[in-house]
Amino acid sequence: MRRSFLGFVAVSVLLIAACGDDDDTTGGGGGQAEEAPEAAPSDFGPGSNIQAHGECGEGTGEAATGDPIKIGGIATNVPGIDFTWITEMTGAYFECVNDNGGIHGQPIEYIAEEEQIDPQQIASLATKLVEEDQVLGIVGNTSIIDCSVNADYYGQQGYYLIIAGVDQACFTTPNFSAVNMGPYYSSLGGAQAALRAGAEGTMVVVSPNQPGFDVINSGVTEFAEENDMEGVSILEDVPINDPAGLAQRLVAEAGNGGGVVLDFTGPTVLPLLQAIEQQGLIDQVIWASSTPPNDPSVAEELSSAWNGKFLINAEFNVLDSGQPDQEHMNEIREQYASDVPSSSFAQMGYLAGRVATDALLGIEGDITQESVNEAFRGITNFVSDIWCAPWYYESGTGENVSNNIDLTVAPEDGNMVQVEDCFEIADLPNNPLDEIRAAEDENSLNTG
Amino acid sequence: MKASDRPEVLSPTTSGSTAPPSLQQRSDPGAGALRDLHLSRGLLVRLVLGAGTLLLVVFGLPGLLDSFWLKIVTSVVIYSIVTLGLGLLIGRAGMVSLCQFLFMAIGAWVALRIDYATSLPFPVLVLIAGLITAAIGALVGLPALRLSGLYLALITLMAAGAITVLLRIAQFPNGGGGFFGNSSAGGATSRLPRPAIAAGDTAYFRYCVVVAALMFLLAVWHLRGKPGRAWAALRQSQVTAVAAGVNTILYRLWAFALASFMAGVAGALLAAASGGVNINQFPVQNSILLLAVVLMGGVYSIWGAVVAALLLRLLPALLDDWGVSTELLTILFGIGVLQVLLTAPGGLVDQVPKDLANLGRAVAGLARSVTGRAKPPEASP
Amino acid sequence: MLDLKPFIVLGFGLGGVFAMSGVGLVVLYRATGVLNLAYGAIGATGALITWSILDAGWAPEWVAYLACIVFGGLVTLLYGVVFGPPFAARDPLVKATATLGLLLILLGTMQWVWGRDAHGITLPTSRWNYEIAGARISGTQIIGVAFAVVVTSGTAVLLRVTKIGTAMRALANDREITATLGVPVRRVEAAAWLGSGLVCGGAGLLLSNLVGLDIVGLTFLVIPALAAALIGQLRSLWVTLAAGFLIGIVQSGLTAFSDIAEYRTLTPFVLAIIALLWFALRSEQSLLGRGS
Repeated sequence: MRRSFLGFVAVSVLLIAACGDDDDTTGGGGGQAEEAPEAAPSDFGPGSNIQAHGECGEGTGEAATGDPIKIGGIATNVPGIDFTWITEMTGAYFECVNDNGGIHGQPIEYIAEEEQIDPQQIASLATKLVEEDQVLGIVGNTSIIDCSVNADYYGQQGYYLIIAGVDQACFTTPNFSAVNMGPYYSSLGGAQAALRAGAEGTMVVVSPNQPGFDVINSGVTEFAEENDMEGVSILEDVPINDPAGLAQRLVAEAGNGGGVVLDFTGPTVLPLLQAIEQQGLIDQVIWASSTPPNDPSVAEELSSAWNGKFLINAEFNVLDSGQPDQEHMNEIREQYASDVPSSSFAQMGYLAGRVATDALLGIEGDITQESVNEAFRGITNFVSDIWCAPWYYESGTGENVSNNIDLTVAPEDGNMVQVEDCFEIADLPNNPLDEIRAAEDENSLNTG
Repeated sequence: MKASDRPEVLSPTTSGSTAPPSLQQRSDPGAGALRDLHLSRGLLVRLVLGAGTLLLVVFGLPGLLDSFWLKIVTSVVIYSIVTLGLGLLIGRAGMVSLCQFLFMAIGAWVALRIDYATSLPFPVLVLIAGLITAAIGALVGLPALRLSGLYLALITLMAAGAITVLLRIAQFPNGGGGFFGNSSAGGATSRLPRPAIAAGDTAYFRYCVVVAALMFLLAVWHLRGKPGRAWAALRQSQVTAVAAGVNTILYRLWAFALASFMAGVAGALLAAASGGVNINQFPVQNSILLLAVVLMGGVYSIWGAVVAALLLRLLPALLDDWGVSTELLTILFGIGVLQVLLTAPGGLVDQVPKDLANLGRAVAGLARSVTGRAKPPEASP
Repeated sequence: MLDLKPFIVLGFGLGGVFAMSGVGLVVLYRATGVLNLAYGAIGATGALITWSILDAGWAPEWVAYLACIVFGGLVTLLYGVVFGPPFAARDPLVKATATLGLLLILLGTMQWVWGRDAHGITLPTSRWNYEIAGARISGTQIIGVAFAVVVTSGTAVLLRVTKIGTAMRALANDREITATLGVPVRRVEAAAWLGSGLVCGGAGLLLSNLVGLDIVGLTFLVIPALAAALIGQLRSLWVTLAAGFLIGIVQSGLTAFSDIAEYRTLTPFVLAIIALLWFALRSEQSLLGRGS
């Protein structure tokens, strides 16, 4: 971790941009902060977490050769849902760390497992990692069912995981902390963008028909009601086998000038977007989305008819921001994980690896399962230009939603470009962001 | 008309022949023994071996396995109940069902719903889950019983699709109210609480083995009794069976209900296994994979069910351990289906002993030829 | 309730999808007695090959599209030639179960080779749009409808009028007797397999554009297609065609009713079960075995 003047300048530039134009129009309804966080550059540290080119961890340039530190990870991999890019990217970062002196001389051995959405299988994989492989920590888990199946087990065994969360169970227990924000908050961010863009009357939200996704929709419908709009929640089977019909339905439910928030993965939403265009419905409503379509491969497939008209909530900064950490991620990706496309998945894997390494390097004394998980738990004020605000592990409220400030991107001639600056996701009566932000302020968790 | 003359599903018949090999003694174990009023020696040996294996599995196996493999083996035991039901259905009654996997989901659903609504003991839950699933199975099979076997298979395939959709709408109960018992606040994965005597993994493994053993006994009891004989008659020739006074509709329905009962029981056990149940683990293709492994395991012997469960649950875990892609298994099972239907209707359970016997003979022949060749050098001065 | 009209219009396109696959299934069944449950899988594999060719860019577009159709024909022909004769004397149930083996082989191959990423094909005809009652029908959907109708009428004419068609019908009725009459059984069967395979490949290409190039989705599109085929009693091409359209229109129309919209994918099953109950109650004998 080298302090560099360049890093300080980079962070300051980002913050000045973040504190800049608020283009929100107050849409009535109480208590939602829609402005960017009021943070002056001095509130953040001198960019101590920003890494220089080619370095990882200690940056010695020498291979680590001591006893390996075992770290585990699990990702869903079934046709249509492949989260292994995240664990591959985390593994790539650890490889780079190992090439640069490891953790005070000890290399990290990353054991990444794949699961096929079978509860018995993932329960046994967790057992394998903890009891057979005896991993000291678990980093990079991205799974549809890991949080709901194994939360109790990880808690009993004393593990605090650094993950990319998918379902709500990943954000409601103290043993998980996610580098992303998950579909509930991300859809809510999309709804906020749609409101600011002028959606009125009805706000429709549509998610895959999976367990718990009606809760995920409820964020948007509640937000709609708080802003004197009608909220409509729709669950649809994926893959969408009648995209034109769904497109017509969404527009009919939203009414002219309403808002529609889509909550699908990139490959799933693409046929729907193409059907919306084919049916001539792009300009009928305000289209918004949670973060997964923030993907270069989606942007490439969209025609210019969609320019600026698909407001995607982005959990991380744009991939071509040119900022130091983002560039560092691109380097690591090209060198160690070139088959992982440049995407928000790669960003998640990179960040998980970064914060874990940082925590490991900070352990004084023996590196054991207890000390590793204590270290993970104690992460605060981790600054990176990929995040809107510094990251921390534990809020202390029992629920961890550390990435709760996002920005908005939209497609523009084959690329995703930023259209709104960082803003806080709305706190609502039914979500804990109020308590979490109070705890953040009280304990200076993300003030740098 | 030709199709109805040959209800025997798997045995290849040469054209014109209507005498399938089902009349062979080996495919109907114990039918001959039943006529003897005392236990024959062969039967006694088999019982002792069976009991011995059971004791070894129940008490010895957990000690040899770590907790990861124990969970996998528990899964094998649970799935062997489903494969047993499907194997009986195909091999004995000559009917194909493509929705047994979804019936497991129904069994799990019923067990979970009743558990949340009442406080009945675990064995009762399992039994009720099995019975309700059997009733649903009978309903599904009913429209097709007057039609050919192909129609029944197609109806079950469509039922599989329909149940998948309904399952997504209803989802698994997780403590909510109403008929569906599903609330958004509950988790995405539903777990059935285990009985107090089987709370730990090792204890639950033993519990599942006991239930599986009971299911196998139920199967044997059927085979030795009236249903077994009726199914054998049905397999020979439907026309003859009707002429002999066998109530073909009742016994076909009974076979379907039995297979569904077993699937329901297995589903209830699955809901209490580690991890619980999640609607994503019941896609339609799993029903087809189930059919494939049951055919490969062997439908003429009830031990084929165990082989089938090993193929379905143990093999993927092993391959995963060795780093081999599990999609290759799907291809392998596809090839297995074709091979079984073409050449080896008895499946692996039938084929492997034969292959081993052939191998033994080949080795013995080789040994003899080797020792034969060794003699001349000795004899020479 | 939302406005029904656009959904009815879209339902025609969806119905064309089901009708196309259902008719293809019945055509093969009538000619060879095999209900090819791998129908969707073959089409999907062909479409993925087309995608790979388009993605790699080493052939013009029309070659890639042709590849799908040719692949469908070749794989089906290969299966029919290799596995047709050994199974010829067996129960239709066994023959259908054997095609499940082919389904698994293709499914596993697709997931292994193409499973990682998402794929999509946009046919040039999808860019043509016609607006009817507030919904737009794409050129591909119209081709889908036309394809279904052409295949149905063409096959009906072929089976009734031409020599080879008569031979196919005789074959379906009784293979041994047909052979003793001097009909070149294997050649006629091969023709039936090839023809069905080409239709399958064409359908796969159109479907990949109409419902998306999703491996599992396309493979199991055979289930609603079966529903249409069952309503046609695995016999009548025209009834299958009509059933396919009926299922599509009803399913799409239900989208307009918000309360039951999520149940709409049950439409094929419900309609098929109703039809089967109707047939089972009406007459027992005429449904055992295959009709002609």
